[in-house]
Amino acid sequence: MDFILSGLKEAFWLLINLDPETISAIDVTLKSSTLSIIFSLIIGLPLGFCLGFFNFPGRKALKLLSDTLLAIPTVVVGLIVYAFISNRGPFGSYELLYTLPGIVIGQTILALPIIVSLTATAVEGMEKKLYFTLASFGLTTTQMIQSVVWELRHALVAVGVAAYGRVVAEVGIAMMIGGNIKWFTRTITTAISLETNKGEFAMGIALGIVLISIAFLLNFMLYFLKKRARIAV
Amino acid sequence: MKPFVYELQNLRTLYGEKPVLDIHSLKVEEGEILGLVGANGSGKSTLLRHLAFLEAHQSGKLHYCGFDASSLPLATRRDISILLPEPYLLKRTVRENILFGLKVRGETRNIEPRIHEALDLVGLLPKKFMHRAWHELSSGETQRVALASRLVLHPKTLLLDEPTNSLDYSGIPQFTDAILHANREWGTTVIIASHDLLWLSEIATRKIGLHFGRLMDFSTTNLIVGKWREEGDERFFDFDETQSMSLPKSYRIGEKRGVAINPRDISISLHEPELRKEDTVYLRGIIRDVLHVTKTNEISLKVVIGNHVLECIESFEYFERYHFYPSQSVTVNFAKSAIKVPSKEA
Repeated sequence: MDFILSGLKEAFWLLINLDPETISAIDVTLKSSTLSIIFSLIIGLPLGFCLGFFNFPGRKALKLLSDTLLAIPTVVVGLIVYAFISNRGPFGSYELLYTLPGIVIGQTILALPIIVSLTATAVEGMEKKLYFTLASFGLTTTQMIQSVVWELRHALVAVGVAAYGRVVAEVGIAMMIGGNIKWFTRTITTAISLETNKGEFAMGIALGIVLISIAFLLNFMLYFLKKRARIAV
Repeated sequence: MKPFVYELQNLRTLYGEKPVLDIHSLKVEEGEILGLVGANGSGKSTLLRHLAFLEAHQSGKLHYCGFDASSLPLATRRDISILLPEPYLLKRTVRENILFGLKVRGETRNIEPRIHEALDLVGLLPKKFMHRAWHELSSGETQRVALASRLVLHPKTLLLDEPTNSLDYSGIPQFTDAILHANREWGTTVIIASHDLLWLSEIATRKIGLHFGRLMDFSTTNLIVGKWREEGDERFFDFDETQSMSLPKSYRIGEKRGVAINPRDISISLHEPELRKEDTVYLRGIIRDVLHVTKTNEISLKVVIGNHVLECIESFEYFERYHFYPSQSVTVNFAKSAIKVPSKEA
């Protein structure tokens, strides 16, 4: 029991004194997950919108695929990306393995189905009344898309927040693609895993506190966004 | 004669196997206020959505100002505004909701005065409501803002689907005035679907009845739509708690069927008759309107009976003898044979 208490005490000490190693892991985590969310939003929002808004052959199959990929294990994504960017893979020459951009690619792939699937669900679930109301103003297709996105803004931001929560807490991709290199690719989750294995509980607990705080903050935001989106109806 | 805004011919739409609209012929003149009457599921809302080009018909002709859906230019399409039942406000402030249609049309002139005018018309104080968010409004206020955001466009055609649904009693006159203002000042053609027959008779210049997606094949001045209850060999229609009319089951009035009575087949008298004929319906009511029909030198009297209004037409000589006036209590009577039931194949 003592080692947990002393670990906790030391953890606070590390956080208060901005221990460089701890801060480095936090920094890498925030950088990789923020960048990957930005990329997956850029790719995933339009895809999800089209999937939810337009009717085309094969739409249901695509929706089923993106829904299935929601549950894809992070180590599988890690494995696939590893295969492609390792020296023997087709993109080996770019030397992305064990780099931050490598982690970003993996995490973008992880977040993509979440963004696509949840966006499509939000757009699909858009009330008929909203659609008819917008259509009744005689909008052009571009105006229609802009207006739908704006009307669903709370739901769409919630999609981004949910995906961020998944990416920030994942360990498989960061470990396999990043390689857990101190000062470079060591993220909060890979650091916790390593430090715990080494018996260094303090740093593990400190980073755990940070991760839980981020998760709490995200859920807090989600709660308000969902409430906002509901009021709107 | 004024030009036709809408021309419909053999318009047909099916939901699966079931025909929801099957209109042989309908023409709507510019500047008229047309009331659509019919029970739930009679196709009123569907017809309005077709007229707004929000839903496509499957066969037949639907022309708006000479254009069909495929050739309708966006600018002409934007002359039509529809207020859906339980209107949806955009997740923005009242001002932005009203501004939306203008923005979409790229209109930038006289924005502020137009927003003020629209809010004034629906009876909302611009100062108080302008910056309220969508979720800070009651359902009645939402309805008014929704109408204001259509009125601000000065539409050439205004389609209203159950517009008085969420309004309380005091809100209706303001709404009526706003609609009449659009019609008189801007020449807006208005088509209203409503269950509120009393209100509809007040505002509409013409009423048509819909029945299972079909237009009723007779005059709808005295169209009575509602539930008939069965009792023995007869079906009863209740005007209020104490007054009803009945028809034998052989008339084949379905629960949802409407009936109509020619206003000239209805007689009006001040007192209840001492002798009641068996094949005649007698109802007590209160006169709401007395109008002189100059064309035929007749008097049109609108009599409120319970939640219904019956129009009776009498000769001017008859009126000179009895001097009917609004708020007067009268008896109307008509022979049961005057009650017209639409044929199923109408």
